Amino acid sequence: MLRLRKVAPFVPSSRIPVTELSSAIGLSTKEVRLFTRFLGLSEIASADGLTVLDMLLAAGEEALAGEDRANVRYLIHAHTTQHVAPPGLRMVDSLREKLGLTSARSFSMSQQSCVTALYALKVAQALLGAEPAGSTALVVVGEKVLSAPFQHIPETTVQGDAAVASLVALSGPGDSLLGSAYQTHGRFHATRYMSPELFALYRTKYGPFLAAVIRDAVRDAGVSLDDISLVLPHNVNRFSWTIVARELSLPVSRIYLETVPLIGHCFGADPFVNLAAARASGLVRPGSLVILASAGQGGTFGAVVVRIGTGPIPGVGDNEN
Amino acid sequence: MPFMNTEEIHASLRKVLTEVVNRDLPELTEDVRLFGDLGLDSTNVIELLMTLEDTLDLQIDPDELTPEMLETVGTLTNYIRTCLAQEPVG
Repeated sequence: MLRLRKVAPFVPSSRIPVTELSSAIGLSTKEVRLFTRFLGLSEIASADGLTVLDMLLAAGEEALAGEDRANVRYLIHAHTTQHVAPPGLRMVDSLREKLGLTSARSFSMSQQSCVTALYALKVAQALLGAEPAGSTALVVVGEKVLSAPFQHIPETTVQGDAAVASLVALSGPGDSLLGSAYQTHGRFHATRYMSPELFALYRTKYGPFLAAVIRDAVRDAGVSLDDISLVLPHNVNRFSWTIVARELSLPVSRIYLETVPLIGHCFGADPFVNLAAARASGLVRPGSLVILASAGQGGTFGAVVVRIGTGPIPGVGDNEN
Repeated sequence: MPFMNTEEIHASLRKVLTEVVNRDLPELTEDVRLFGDLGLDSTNVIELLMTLEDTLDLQIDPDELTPEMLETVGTLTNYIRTCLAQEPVG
């Protein structure tokens, strides 16, 4: 069983109000009203002056603090968009060297949009199964908004910058991954370039598909939805989660939406940032069952069920930058 | 906002819904489901609410919206009636 030994987020301290994005990315007045009044978005976190490597390094150092880095066998960078700029940078190798992970092999993965980070846990679990007892893997998640198309999903969300590093192992202390589920509905692969008819179908199916993958993860974990203290979502927007709550017959209060107005949708990092934030605020305690859930452009859906353990509790406050 | 009876709210709702879903609608009875029967989704249901705000001159508080309020034509009509009743006079 995979253990999340430490989950360390890095949320930059800079914020950009959504109302100030109009000129930068071409939001109409109507869309600003949609985002701020109805979708629960207010500000996005901005890594102004920081590179992706800076963010991943900060999160990685916090996750590895006090740990034996020689036990880290894998460094996995999960990112949402398929390429991380600049293209000539061997970023994961650089990160491995800067973190002093001399025993680790490193690679990056994407292709599942905002579900990639959750899927990386499954990959880490499989890889660690072939490693000596006591081995660990560092899963880092994060990227940076570099252009308007990446900052804005029309009528849906605006993207912010954040990173998270999770040190995982197959034994020892930490949060236990009890079950997971992933679904890819490939007919929606064209994302914002889908035909209007297919896009309309996707919007209709989004809530039911996300609810279905959550139910599958709960079933895989051998628990029931009633056992779940909190759903830790991706921050795409507040309203779409009310639709998912309706599908699940779950009170919206059991979905942790507190960071949506504070940081926006930070690609694949959201569920992990929310795990750290919910823990820091005392909403989840050792023994609590939570679900990390996300959906990605292209028709990807994923959820993992985690039992909160004891151990180091990194905070989620603003980081210096 | 002047008082609106159920028929008037239904008429406004039908006009706005037709714009939002962009097709002819069946008869709007109280038990018609917005998502299941009319094909609304998480995006165009908000377009519906924003258009209702503009056409009926009412103010919707998204924080008090619950999934149940958006379940059927009847529940949404009740919610609209509540919003209209809360509108300040003058």
